[in-house]
Amino acid sequence: MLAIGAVDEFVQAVIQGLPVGSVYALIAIGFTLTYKTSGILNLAFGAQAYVSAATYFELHVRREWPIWVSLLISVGILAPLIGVLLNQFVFKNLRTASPVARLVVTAGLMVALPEIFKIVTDFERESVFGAVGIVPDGKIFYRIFDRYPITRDEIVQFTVAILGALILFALFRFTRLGLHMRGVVESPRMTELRGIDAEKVSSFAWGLSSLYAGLAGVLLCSTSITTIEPGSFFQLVIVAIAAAALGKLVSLPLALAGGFFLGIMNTILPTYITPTSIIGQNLGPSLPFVMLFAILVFMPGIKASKESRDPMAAVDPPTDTISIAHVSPWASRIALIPSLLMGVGIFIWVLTSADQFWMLLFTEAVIYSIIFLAITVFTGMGGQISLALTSFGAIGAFTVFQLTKNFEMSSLLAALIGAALGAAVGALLALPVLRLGHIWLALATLAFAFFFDAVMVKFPWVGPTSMQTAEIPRPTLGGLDFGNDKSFFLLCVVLLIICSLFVSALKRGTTGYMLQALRGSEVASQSVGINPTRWRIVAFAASSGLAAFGGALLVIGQESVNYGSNFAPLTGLFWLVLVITLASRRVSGAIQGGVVFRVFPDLILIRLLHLAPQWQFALFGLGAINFSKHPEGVLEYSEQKSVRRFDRLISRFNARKQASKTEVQS
Amino acid sequence: MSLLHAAEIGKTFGSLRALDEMFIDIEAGERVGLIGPNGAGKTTFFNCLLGVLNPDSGVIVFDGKEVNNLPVYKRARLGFGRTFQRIELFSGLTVREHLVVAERSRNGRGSFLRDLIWQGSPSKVELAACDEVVELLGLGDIRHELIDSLSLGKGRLVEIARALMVQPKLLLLDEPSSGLDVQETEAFAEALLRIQQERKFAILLVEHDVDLVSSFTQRAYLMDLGRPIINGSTPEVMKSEELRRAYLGDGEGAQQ
Repeated sequence: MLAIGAVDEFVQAVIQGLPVGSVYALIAIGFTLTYKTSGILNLAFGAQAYVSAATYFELHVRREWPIWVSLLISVGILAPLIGVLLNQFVFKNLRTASPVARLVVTAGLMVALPEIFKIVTDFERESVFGAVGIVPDGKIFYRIFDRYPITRDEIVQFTVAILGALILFALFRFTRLGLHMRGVVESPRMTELRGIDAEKVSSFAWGLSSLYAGLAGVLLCSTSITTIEPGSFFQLVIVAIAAAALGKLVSLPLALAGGFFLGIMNTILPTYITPTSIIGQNLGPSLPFVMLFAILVFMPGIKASKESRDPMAAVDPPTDTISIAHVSPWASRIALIPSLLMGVGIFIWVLTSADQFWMLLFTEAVIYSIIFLAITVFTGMGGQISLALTSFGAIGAFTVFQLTKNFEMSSLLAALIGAALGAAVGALLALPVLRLGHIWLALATLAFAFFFDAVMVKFPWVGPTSMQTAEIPRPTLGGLDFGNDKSFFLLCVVLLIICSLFVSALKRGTTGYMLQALRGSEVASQSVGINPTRWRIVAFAASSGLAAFGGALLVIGQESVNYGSNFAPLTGLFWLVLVITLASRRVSGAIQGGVVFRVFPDLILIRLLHLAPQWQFALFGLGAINFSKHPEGVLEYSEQKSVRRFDRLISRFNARKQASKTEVQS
Repeated sequence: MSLLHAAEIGKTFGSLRALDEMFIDIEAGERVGLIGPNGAGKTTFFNCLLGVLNPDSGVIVFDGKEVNNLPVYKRARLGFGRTFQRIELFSGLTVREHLVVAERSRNGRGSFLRDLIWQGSPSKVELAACDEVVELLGLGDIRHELIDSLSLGKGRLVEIARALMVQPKLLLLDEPSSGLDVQETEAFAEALLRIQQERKFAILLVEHDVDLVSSFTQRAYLMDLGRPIINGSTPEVMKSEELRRAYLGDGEGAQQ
């Protein structure tokens, strides 16, 4: 009897999982297709799915247009149009960009696209509950074998998704265009040598995969997604990445199978976990991330498949090296003067004439600068990407919360312990993930961040259980009470200076040399006896420790944990893209990032230009797109221009001196 | 006891037997060539010696110590130096900084904690050691140039300099002539010979350019299809029937 029950449950789970799995599969093959044709891991697919789903909702539910018209506009026209436009104006130029640049640009789009959509259409002005499918009366259910219930929406979802996949395979197999596409997948350059326009084929691939993304978005609205907001669609893209990773990002059939597999796992796994435990209650939404993490860490061969390589890539121009010329040290020192003066000016203004609002804003800017130094260390020096910064910030914050609450410890001491704990967790996390290549590492840390967000935070020994109990006292040190906002601001400035000195010391010391060497060539580094794991762990731990310390200070400043508004995982993506687009390779870049992040939106956008907060994200996305042109960061780029100017002046001066000397001698 | 002793090395990729019963012995301070036509398995063997690949079978003893299971960087610390066929340099660092990296790695004096107390910058002694090697290879004029702006020939010299900083007992060179013209190759060989005689390390030169091997090495190993064919003094190997056969075929049609 029991056995039959178990089988029953299993069949039920498979039947429930298949429709969702087919949608995952659809987006996974689109994902693989664009990765293979253009080398870009498009994180923005989720955003594209959101745009189509929201358009469909607006047209069909709110304006009550017929289903087929709404579907044609949102999926048939809008979705591929976005894909083609993005390819034309953004992705096409990224083919030879560095992996960091590619990831930053798609991450920027992922944040910006929904916001731009909201600005343009004024979409979220009212609630967006109650999404519906693409057939009338979708909730009517039938029974398979008179036993297992399945709704009409699910049947349609499954059928349409399978049809989509079949069409793609037929296209590949039987048409000229498909043949060309297969060629481009193998090697765009080789295909061009055969007289085929690889750009056109690639553009078609983008249109098609974006259409699938849009279709997936609309289809999911009938079953698993009920609130149309960008976050839910981001999960979709994570599942797609996990499914595509099962096919190592190169095999379309495996990506398809991966989608089905994950869809079924998604329904089966929760039945085996006690639903009342904390893991059971919260695992559901984070399951995609857990699976992605597990696939990346445990699947053999992921490490080897670091980048998609075009056998003819040699004919492409080489990846842009960040433009660095050797300039006299004096020139770079002189070029620092304006920003130093400005910093001192702001500092004096805040101390003497700022009201409480601006004082707190600038204090947070200083604290965010400390957090952003974590990016300077790991990305600027190490050349790698971690998207789990928010988790480490939260670890610092929670440590302060627990220690001050349970042991009445000084919050400053607790912040230091939080930093140490963050570094330790970072080192532990580093062990499995750091052997992964660039993009995989970024994805694994992202998966970790979401898992932390969905599950870890809920444990009472980690985070506060409610808003009321989340209070944190300001520290006192000797006779100084930092409950006063002004003295707390001063404390933060001093801590920022200390942290900046630490990071500069790392940059100039062995750590900086070793990381630069590893970045340049891992095999050559090993050939002179450098242990890559050791230095990567050092970089990851140091960066995590800094983020934790900054996170701790942030919540001390706010006197409350505010997990949701401070440390949501997508915020980390925002931080990273912001700092990288400004200047990640230098300490001053982190500080400028802190100011831009905390002060710019309030000062410029809201106070001066009276724009909606969404503009912040939209502008940020545009900035990220621009990043592909200046991989050293916009601030560093403009600063380097002035450095070179000074350098020319100095060398001209030296030359004149030299000339007069030789004149005297002769 | 020879400096490097490798015996019965076997390596299979899928169904391809890339190495079969390969062996090599190198004495301290001697210059040995490893030659063979394209696809003979030279690079695979080379990578097995260095630890980039793990052989399926066989034993590798270096300086009296079995190194079979050591990772690349640990072998480097024992005294393996190497250069790369496609040069591998540290983009963004200057010529001298390449040597600083290697020197730091050798003396093991750098650590994260030392960096934190501002003790991480290269010391005068370290810089002097780097400058010595810079001068030895005639790179003095360009020591502060960024590596990205150098020619391939200079890049190869920087690779040698970087390898020398670790004070190798055996320097393995992977096709150093590839990408260089005849004159550059000669200049390169000359510089290398001079330094080798001054510093007395052993060299294993992996090449398919027979001319370079015959002028530069004292002994040579010929391999083909993953197997050792003959070995002996370089002139002997160069004159052998086996060499002619390996490179030109046995006259009964082309080789595969």
